[in-house]
Amino acid sequence: MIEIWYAILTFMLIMFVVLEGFDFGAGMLQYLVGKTEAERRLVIAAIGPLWTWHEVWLVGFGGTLMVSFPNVMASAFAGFYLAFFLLLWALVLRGVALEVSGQIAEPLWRTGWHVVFVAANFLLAILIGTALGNIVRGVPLDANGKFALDFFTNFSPSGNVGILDWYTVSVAVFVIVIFAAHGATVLVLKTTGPVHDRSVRIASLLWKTILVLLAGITLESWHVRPELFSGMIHQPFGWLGLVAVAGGVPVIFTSLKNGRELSAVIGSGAFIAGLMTAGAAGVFPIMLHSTLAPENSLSAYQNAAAGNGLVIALVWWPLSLIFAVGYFTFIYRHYTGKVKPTEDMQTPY
Amino acid sequence: MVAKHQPVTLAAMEGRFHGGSNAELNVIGQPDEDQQRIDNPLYLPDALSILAFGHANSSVQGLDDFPKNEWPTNIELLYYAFHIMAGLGTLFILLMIIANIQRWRGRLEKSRGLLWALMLAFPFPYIATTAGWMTAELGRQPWLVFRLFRTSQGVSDVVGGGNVLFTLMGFTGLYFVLGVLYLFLIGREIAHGPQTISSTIKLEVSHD
Repeated sequence: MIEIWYAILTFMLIMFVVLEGFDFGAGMLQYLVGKTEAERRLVIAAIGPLWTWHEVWLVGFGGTLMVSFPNVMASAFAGFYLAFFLLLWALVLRGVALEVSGQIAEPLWRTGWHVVFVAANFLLAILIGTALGNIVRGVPLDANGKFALDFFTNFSPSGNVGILDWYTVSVAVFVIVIFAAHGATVLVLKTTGPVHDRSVRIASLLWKTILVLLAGITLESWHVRPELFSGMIHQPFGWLGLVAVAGGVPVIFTSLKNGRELSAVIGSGAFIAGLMTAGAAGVFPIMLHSTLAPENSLSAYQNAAAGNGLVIALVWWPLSLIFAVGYFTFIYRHYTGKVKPTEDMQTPY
Repeated sequence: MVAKHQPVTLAAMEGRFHGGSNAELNVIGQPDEDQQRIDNPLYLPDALSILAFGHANSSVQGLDDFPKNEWPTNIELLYYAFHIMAGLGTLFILLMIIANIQRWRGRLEKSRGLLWALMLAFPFPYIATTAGWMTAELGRQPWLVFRLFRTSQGVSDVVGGGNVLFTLMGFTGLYFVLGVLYLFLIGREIAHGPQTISSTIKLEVSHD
């Protein structure tokens, strides 16, 4: 039962990162791929109708974490207090910028909101990357299973750590590049014309960069959390993730080259999902690792919800999943295919 | 629902300090916690008993039936929030009944007074929903989980007050900006006015 809930949580987080990741990425690249206002609106039109739906997975993840592992949620939400609020504020500003930038056709208004939008996307990628880095590295959990993280301490990933150290910062950079590459790949699928051509070039450049960065991150993670890799190879899901990563890379490169746009997006999604699956399998069952003393770590087995709460939730969770999948199908069928440049000039999307 | 599961919340919402049968429904009146009564009340006799349990003689518990440490912490605010919500709700029902009668008679567009009332009523739904939200949140105090977990037990021991104040100020600022933005955009839309009749007709034609 506990393994099922751990898998469900991982699945929801992967859905969020894969789906909203390309929104963040496309948003970051708005000025790189869009040289004119019309091209920049095209970028927004490509992701516009989908972003609220994608963020549902983050909300669902938080709720599911509370249902299944309440202690972990209590510890993490208090420990990352300020970082979570930054995440919320960035999400709010990003959403507002998306919605209102199209309302007034005034250069200053448009540019102002575009800048907010791009900056918020970068901040979100940094925050999500840092959060993932923190989960792998661990946090200074005390014997009560509590922690409070400062943003910066001494930038070293052991002992009295802060949210930012050389490891988490490099994960954040890695995530920025991944989101940007993923976003560019989706823009290739969703757009035509100059935006499309620029996206193709940016996507292949970024994916090459990722291969180099991936090697670096792997070495760093080995140094910071060696048991990540020993855990990974003992779990079937770890292998599944590694296969998805290894399979995704050639698919991305050949598809981008041959113009098979949808399969490039699928490869890119598989790459990200594979990395996260392998990571989640590698750290299992430790949900929050303590950098102070290993015995303080929060394990999934000791911190799952008590009683038959998990069984009851397992009945309700699929029901809401059916709704979510239904809506997913509807909205993707509705917005399938390329966005046309004429589609949007007046309305927000 | 509330009467059955959270009787102490109902008592505070209605400003009912003393329990008993034939409970009256206070329409207007100011709760006075020191005197344990409603000042200047205007009430419907027996109505609360009927609403809560379907019978004029039913007994509805008052605040004095519960230990003081289980009372909602801010009874005055809870009472007002609930009465604003319920009062505005009643007003909406009346307005809609009148408007529908007029529409049925084909006179809605010609009843000048009613149209004015409808237009001026536009802020009320926002106020009513906010007041309703306050009723829910104030009414559940002092519990986070009813009868299981007190709000005072839910305080985080690693997040300091200064941090909370910072994020509260941040949210206040953000919502203020959003509020101004909203008023600006809506105001702009209203200043734009409705589409002219000819363009509306064109739209209808193109939809067919």
